[in-house]
Amino acid sequence: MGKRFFVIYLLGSILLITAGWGAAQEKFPTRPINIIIPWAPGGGGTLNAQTLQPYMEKQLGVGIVIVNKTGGAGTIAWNYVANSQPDGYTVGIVNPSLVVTVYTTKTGVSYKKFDPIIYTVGVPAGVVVRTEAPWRTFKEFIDYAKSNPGKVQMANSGHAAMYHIGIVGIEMATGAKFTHIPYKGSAPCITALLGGHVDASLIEISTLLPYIEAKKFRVLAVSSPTRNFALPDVPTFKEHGFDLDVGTWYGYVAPKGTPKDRIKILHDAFKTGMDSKEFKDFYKRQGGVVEYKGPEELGKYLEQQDILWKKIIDFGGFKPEG
Amino acid sequence: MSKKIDLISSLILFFLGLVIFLKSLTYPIGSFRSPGGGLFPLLGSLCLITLSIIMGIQTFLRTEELKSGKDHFFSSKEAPKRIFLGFLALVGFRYLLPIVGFGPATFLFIFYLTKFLGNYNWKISSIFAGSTAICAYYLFQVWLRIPMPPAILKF
Amino acid sequence: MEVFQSILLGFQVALTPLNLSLCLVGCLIGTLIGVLPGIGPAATIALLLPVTFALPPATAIIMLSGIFYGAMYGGSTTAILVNIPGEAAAAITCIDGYQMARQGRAGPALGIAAFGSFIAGTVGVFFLMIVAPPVAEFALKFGPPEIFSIMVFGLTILSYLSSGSLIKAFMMALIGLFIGMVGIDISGVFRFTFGIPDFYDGIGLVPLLMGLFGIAEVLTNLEQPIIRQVFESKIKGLLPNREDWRASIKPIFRGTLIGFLMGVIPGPSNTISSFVSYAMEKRLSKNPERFGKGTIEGVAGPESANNSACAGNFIPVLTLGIPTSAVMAVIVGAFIIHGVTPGPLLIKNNPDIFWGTIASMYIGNIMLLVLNLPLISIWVKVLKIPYGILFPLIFLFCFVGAYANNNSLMELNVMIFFGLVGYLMKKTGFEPAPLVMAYILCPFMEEAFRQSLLKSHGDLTIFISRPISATILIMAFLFIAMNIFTGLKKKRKKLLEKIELENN
Repeated sequence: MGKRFFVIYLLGSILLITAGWGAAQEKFPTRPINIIIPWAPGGGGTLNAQTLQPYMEKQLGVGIVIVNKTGGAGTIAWNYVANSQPDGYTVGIVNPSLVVTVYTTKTGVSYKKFDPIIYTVGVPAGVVVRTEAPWRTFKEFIDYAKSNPGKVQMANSGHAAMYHIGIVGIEMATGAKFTHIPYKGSAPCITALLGGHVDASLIEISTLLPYIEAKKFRVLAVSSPTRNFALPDVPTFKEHGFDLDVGTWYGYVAPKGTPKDRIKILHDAFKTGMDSKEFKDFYKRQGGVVEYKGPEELGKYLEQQDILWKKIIDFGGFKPEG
Repeated sequence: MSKKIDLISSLILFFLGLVIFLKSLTYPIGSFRSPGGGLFPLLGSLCLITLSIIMGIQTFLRTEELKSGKDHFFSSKEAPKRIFLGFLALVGFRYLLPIVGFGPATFLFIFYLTKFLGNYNWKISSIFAGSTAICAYYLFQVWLRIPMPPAILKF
Repeated sequence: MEVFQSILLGFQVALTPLNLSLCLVGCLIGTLIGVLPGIGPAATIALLLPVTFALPPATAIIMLSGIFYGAMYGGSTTAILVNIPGEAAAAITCIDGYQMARQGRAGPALGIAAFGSFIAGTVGVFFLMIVAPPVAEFALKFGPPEIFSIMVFGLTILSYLSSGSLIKAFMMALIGLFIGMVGIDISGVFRFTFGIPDFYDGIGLVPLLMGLFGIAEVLTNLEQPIIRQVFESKIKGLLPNREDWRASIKPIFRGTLIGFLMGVIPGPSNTISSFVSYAMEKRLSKNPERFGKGTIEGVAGPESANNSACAGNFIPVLTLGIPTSAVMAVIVGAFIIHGVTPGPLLIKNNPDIFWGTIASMYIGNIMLLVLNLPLISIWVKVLKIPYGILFPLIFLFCFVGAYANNNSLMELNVMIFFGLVGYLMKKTGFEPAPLVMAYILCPFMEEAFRQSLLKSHGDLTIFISRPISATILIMAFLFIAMNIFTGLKKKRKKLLEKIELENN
């Protein structure tokens, strides 16, 4: 009787030890990784993740599940990621709205609640008008707006959304005053501009390129610090005397406290995707500037963005709503 | 609709309109020329209040008897209990999902419904619940890869 | 004609074995997810996008578009069978379609929905082919004031959506208005959100519909201790008979026209077109009181309208690269990820994709008709499953659908809440159709109203000074006036008859 008990006890301990040992040496990853996207499918964020997905799956040997959790201007998804288990199986994608929503909503999540993984690409925003518009240069446009405050109607993709604040930033830097017409998203802005219902807008150039090619739109200036390769003749804000990096970008983060080795594994997988021909070609067609920023650099960049956007938000008097 | 039910309905809608009216006052109203967030809810709630009063008066003036509408409201004696059980099942499933995960929660949910509302016996209910849970698991989680709420107890 | 030459090119592209088989795959998947409520085409297309990376762009677009129209066909199936609209546009089909199913006429209902969808879809694609560019240009002229006027026009048909008391219908519309207002408004004010971030973008359509229609219906049936057969056991025919066809042919054509015209206008056009078609059929019918009790016109018209609206939806995407709805946005994303730039130059740069997609729409419609007709006999058998076993499955599907919609547990709460509300509404004689209509329309209407006033700096005459907007408003006004006039005429007639009766 005692002998049987002893054998069971021995077997049990061996099992426990091997299980424990296994857990401590647990290979990462062993099950699918979720990328939580705060926007609806078909948009820039989902496309970014989907382009990287096959390469990551090959490198990591597990599935990458793209989960769209829309709502709250992105804060629902970001809150979810920030509160997830920091075990490396939940990853979030972020863009400037992350820092913007901290100040414009009551449910915003500070970038400090995340461990940055990697920055993948930046797409500058462009001030766009129709080709028939009377303004040929950005300077003409701003001069007209300054001498006719409120006359120029700018479509934005949503009240207190990124591009609305970007336009306010232009007001802040140049002293012009526009009339802001809010729409729900970038697509209605394009429609409104095409139909002549507004005079201008600030939109990411990836969306604008087809219309520029079709000679329907003209971009007067871009937000990036250097000229964009897809629009080499278009001057930057910097050339006009102010530096307002209000374009969009995509980076990936994990909840704070995720073990550093797991972040490295994720980071390397993302980087493989970034280095792929598909990814580079995809953004080449979109005017996106594929740029690599590792965890520390992304962290610093988030800090810079936070300061930049906060400045404009304070100028515009936006208050947290919710 | 019986007179009593309609009177209660108009009363409920009246109070709903009132609540919305008060809440919409807390939003910037603006003017008709430059509407704020509160203008449309304000106008809407005023319409609702008016209509509910009209409905109340119309119902009151009807020449029916103010009978007890109780036995006409529910189509059977056990109805209130059954509806309550059904509601409980829905809420229960919703809150069990993030605790035990999709598979087990589905099993419990289907079992409960089949047994207590479908009036089948233990054996049939559990077989049906089990097979549904397994099929659902395969259809939704494996085949269609629909992400389910992550469960606290990992099964 | 150049168009016919181009469409021949399109058929060349679409009729390759690869494209044909993947079109079929798309239609199959689309039908399946259309039947599973809540798991919409947008999410599925997005999910399957990576799978298409290995395929050539034309093939990928053809397959993904197949999913889209397949879902449209499938959405009406659940509306008819279990009163759960697969998408908002099918909500109207629930009204008469489900009643037909309860009377044992699910087969004819499903059949006329399939045929109507096929005819409307095909004719719609034909129109698309011929008039796409000028129609797209015309649609661009619809700015905020025009959208407002269209929404006002849409609201005028509210009275046709209910078969009961008008006051109750209006109050339901107001409730729908309030539900639609939840969330952030155009000036950044968060209304009625009670601090819940899930409500910042409003109360979701899918959980609302599933609760109000699906859950409420099941709860109502659960009242019986021994659940009687909810569906009439004697199946009266599997396909529409001659009488059904005679009644449906005009609604189908009217619906096709309405749907296509409205599909081009940005906004909730599919849904509105089905509502407008329903109202029109009721107005033109000699026995309007039959509507709501299972008339086939109430299915034929709206189903046709929402399918030709789908063809209309493609116009802004194919000619201008602008998506007018979430699903279209995903399709645009699919274009982009395959290296095809949707935009005004699509027809010039990638004529094979442009015309190939159009050609595949014809083919897809045929495939879906062929797919759906035999399925009718299966669906009808599903209804024979004892309700005690069927209803837990209905509940389960509702849950999965509502959750999968946005991976949100809060939306399950919304669904359950509106399930209860819908149940109480049924018991007290309030109808959901006006509520749904207002819930969809009013936010657009309010947004357009306020955008217009921002543009005009507070000048209210903007709605009348612009020609298109003024025309629509006048039409709406005439419509209301006409209704009041006919209403008065009827009352007068009734009064005269009563007097005559008393005199005799």
